[in-house]
Amino acid sequence: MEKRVYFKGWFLPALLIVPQLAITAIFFFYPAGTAIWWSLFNPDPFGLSTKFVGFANFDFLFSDPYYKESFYTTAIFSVLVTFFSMGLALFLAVLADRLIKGAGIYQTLLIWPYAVAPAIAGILWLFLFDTRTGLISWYLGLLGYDWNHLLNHNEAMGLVVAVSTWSRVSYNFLFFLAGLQAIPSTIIEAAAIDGARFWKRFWTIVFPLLSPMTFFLVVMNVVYAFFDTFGIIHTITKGGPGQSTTILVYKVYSDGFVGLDLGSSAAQSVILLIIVGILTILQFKFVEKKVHY
Amino acid sequence: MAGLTLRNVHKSFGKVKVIHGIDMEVENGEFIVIVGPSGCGKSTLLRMIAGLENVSDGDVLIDNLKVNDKEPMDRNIAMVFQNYALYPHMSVFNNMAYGLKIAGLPKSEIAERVRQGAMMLELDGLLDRKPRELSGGQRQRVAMGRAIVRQPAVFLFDEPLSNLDAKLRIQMRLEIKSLQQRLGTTSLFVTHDQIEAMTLADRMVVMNEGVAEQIGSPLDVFQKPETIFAAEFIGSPAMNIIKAISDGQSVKLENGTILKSLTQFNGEIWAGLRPEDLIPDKKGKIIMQIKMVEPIGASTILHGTLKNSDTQIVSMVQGLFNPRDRQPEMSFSISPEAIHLFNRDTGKRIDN
Ligand SMILES: Nc1ncnc2c1ncn2[C@@H]1O[C@H](COP(=O)(O)OP(=O)(O)O)[C@@H](O)[C@H]1O
Ligand SMILES: [Mg+2]
Repeated sequence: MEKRVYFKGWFLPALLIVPQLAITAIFFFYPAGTAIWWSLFNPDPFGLSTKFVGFANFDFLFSDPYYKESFYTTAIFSVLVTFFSMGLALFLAVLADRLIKGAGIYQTLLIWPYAVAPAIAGILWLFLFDTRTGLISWYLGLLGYDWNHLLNHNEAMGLVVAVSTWSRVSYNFLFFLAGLQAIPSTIIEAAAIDGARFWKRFWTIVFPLLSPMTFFLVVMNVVYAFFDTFGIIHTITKGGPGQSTTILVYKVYSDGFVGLDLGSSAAQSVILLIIVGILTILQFKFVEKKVHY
Repeated sequence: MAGLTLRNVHKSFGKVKVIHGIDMEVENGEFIVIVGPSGCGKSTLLRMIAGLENVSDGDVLIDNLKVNDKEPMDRNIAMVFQNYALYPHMSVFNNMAYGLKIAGLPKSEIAERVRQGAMMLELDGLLDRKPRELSGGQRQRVAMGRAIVRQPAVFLFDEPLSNLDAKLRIQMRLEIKSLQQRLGTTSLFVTHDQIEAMTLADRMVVMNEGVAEQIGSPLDVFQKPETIFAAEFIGSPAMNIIKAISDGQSVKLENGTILKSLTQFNGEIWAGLRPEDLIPDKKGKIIMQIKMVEPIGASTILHGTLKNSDTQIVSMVQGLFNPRDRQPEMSFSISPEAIHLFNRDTGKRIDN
């Protein structure tokens, strides 16, 4: 039997959903609408007048090598962050799942990084890797390695990937652990009796059964790498050196607020909006794929 | 094929003791049923034999080889779980072939063994299906098939039939029995259902709170229960257990009824009378005041009390018995051999 509460009239229901609608309108529909609007205009450099340009902003973007490079950077960045944060989280979750004693403490500690805001995470890591004052870069210096992510493209990318991974592992860990604990223990035991040792069981039984969870997390992590890593990049590299860590969302910011090219910036946000839309559709399509157990 | 030996096997979970020392010797090819109420430690015992739980004390031997410290995969056993534990993402074929693939058998032999197993269990047409596309009974068969194709030394069954409906349960019970006889594989079968135990077992282990109360053939256990627990647990309706005093020639029930007995024992006892051993007899000494009549088809169960007392007693009489014709009182007699005597303090059987 389905239980439902029925409200009489419309006033109370309306009152209850107004706050959510307001938040969605103010923080989502209004900015998105504005972005779409502005993507069709071009202000003059002094901001004194704007001129309707149709899709010219988009035409310009698609022929802009810097924009193409930013796409490429974003692809590398999000693949690395997704791969490492999920791989590490899965490894930790598998270990935690086997723990009997102290599992609670271990899990709590692993969740902490999630509570750290991206910008703060960036600053924390800068204490370690700052080219002049960082602890680890100083030790690397003693070992004869000159760490300088402000000049070296690979080091810059490596550092933002590391920080983004670090602050995402907790989230993935929680989901993977829940997924592992949902697998009936008798299935694992049956496999053990059938002769499969730990890693064999992992690859032939556990990992396939986790696949719906893994897919969900891939989408969530790509979205994270695309958008939520802004604070980390902003505090650590500001998109540099050159354009080497300028992912799409950072380019929206730097073109719009630093370069003051509002038309192009708006067009870029519209493109990002479309990408999120596609990811969301993918997500919903595959979430319906049945979990096996 | 292999025998199985348990030597003084104990199990504790932390401070909680669950198994209190079980000894058992299982012959090659024997079908042993472990029967007892829920929570008495049956699964725990089976899981220790499988290697899924470690043994707190004592030894488990398979084929005279101590296996306490061996992993499940190194014990040459197969287990059928209550919830079947099929691999949900694999086809029936792959479920059955999984263990064989890991054992590294050649493809042709795997296919042949799975084919034979599937035929034995009438799964031929279902090999490409996923477990979720099967009925409960079919899943049960796949779980059996997975165990059979590995040709292990010992089969372990943990209440494999209790998720099936009554009719299917009886059918599968017969199939398991005939399959086991055909394959001749040593088997341990856990159940809480005494009828399953009686029908399947070569020998059964009656378990209660982590103790083996009696190990013996179903007939032995039924005819000569070693303890009050075994007496009450096996047989339906359960044996009547009545306070009594024995003087070596007769037994005096607590309401004063005196019955002739063959057991020479003087002192306070429990007298055990099976409901079906109470024979309606106009001259019988056991007088029952009838409270309720339960017709169950070929026979009728009568519930009531012994005359002049509150002592509950149940009898079972052959034939249909119309509840409307019920008399307020009926008298029964019982043959002296059918009276079981148990020690008042220990609950152990008293024999001559
Ligand atoms: N992993 C465990 N940890 C603690 N207690 C357990 C565990 N497994 C079983 N027990 C306890 O051991 C007793 C016997 O359980 P079990 O062997 O499953 O009984 P049965 O199979 O006869 O119903 C129960 O009281 C149960 O609560
Ligand atoms: Mg059990």
